[in-house]
Amino acid sequence: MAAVGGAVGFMNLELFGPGLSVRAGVDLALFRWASTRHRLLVTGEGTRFSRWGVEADFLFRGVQADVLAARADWRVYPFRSLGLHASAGTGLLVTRDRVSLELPERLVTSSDTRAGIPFELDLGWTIADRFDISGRYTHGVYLSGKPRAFGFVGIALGVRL
Amino acid sequence: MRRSPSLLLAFAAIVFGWSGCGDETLVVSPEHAVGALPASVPDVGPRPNPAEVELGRMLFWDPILSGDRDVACATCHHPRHAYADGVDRSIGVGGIGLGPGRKPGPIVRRTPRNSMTILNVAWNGFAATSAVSSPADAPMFWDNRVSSLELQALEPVENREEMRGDAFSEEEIIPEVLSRLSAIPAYVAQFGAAFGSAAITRETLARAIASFERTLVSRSSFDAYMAGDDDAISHAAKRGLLAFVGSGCNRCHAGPMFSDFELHRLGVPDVQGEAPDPGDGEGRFRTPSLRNVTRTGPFMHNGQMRTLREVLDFYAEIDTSLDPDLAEIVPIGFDDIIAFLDTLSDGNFDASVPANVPSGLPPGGRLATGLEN
Repeated sequence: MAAVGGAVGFMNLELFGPGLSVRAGVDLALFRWASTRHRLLVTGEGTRFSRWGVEADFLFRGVQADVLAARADWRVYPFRSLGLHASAGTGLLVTRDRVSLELPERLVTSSDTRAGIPFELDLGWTIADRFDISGRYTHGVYLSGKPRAFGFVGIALGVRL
Repeated sequence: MRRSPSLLLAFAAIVFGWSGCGDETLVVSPEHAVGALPASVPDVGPRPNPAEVELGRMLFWDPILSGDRDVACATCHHPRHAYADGVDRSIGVGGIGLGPGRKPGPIVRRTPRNSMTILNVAWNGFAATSAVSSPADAPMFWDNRVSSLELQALEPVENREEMRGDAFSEEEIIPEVLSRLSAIPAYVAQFGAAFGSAAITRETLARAIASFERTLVSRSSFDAYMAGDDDAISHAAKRGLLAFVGSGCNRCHAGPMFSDFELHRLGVPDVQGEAPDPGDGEGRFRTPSLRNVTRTGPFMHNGQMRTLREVLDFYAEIDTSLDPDLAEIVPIGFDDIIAFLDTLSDGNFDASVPANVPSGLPPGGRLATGLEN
């Protein structure tokens, strides 16, 4: 079964502001153990952290980060009659962040692209036949460079097609 | 057929995520701009001759300037600590040792304030949009109580806790020092070579020390970046520069010295068990330069913050009603800010220590504790 979804999130590097993501992939039934259903989500996701036009002092101009991730998440539905579900996943991610600052003496611009491994925990609820809502935490560990890790919490909405 | 929508949306996410839409630039106004050090130190009238600078170097290192002949300028402004001393509040007369290992004497314990680095002190007063019209107006000390490096140079000599001690009064100490120097033929010759007269006066003594201090220049990787070397600082440091500006640090830490050289009230915690430091009389202290800041902790006027992280945490919780500029502070991205601040530090400065000084006293004063071996 195909699945699509989106999320809003806040990176722990507050610098980058709120993130919006789009996610798509497949939702595969694995097996059932007692009343617990086990499924595998294989997804790709793109997220941008930016001001999104919000004029607020606590969101800086001139910084922006993009995150691309491919993940496999193991999802369990522990109760047959309830929509409660939890999942954990990992995969690969690539982040790119950019800065742009104009000083009187010079323009400061820079970008940095790095690869890492994401770890995601998700706890959610099926709110309608094919609609899920969940809260999730994504922690990314970079393969090199500093900072070594980043994380963000988010609220995700999903549709199983 | 069911796979089509998911593939389409995944593609849309990639295009959306990497297209660069929404790019913005943070523009810094001139009055809060940060920048490179000027190409040359400011003119102070006739350019000092090499003999004057070398004389100043000897005087800077010679403890004969202190009442008990045990403290030199270099004791608390030592190159090993980027011309500061690495302790919260300096230990002057009676102390033994160097840096954090220095032990106070039995009578005078500590000075009330942290030792500022004198690296780049030639540019004191150079703020973002206004520079002092003359080095004679350059603000000095944590409370801006004197102007010009020449006036600053002898203040520590007259200060009880720093160099004078109890053997001489404030009025007696400078005549005593001048008398001591006049009795040393090497100094008489050096003053003659420097100023064309062997007469040693308060003015020539101060001028020689100031002339040497103006040669203590430290240009950092940030200056190289501002001069056009794009790779001189890391991406994290550039992001830190943006966080520095975005957080509002440049409201006060601006210009080539990263200071507005103005007095501000921050509410820094007082030293426990001691009377509050009145600063300029109204609880205000001068914005310190951030040049070489990662090499010159502890921080704040009384050295009560040991790390830059503590300083940033302090600003995150600061009472913004204390000073108008504090209302604009939004501290974010501490790791990046610290990475940026490190680009303002550089070990590429004159760190030479003279083997001896004309008085025959140990250069720098009683820096050896006897425990080194």
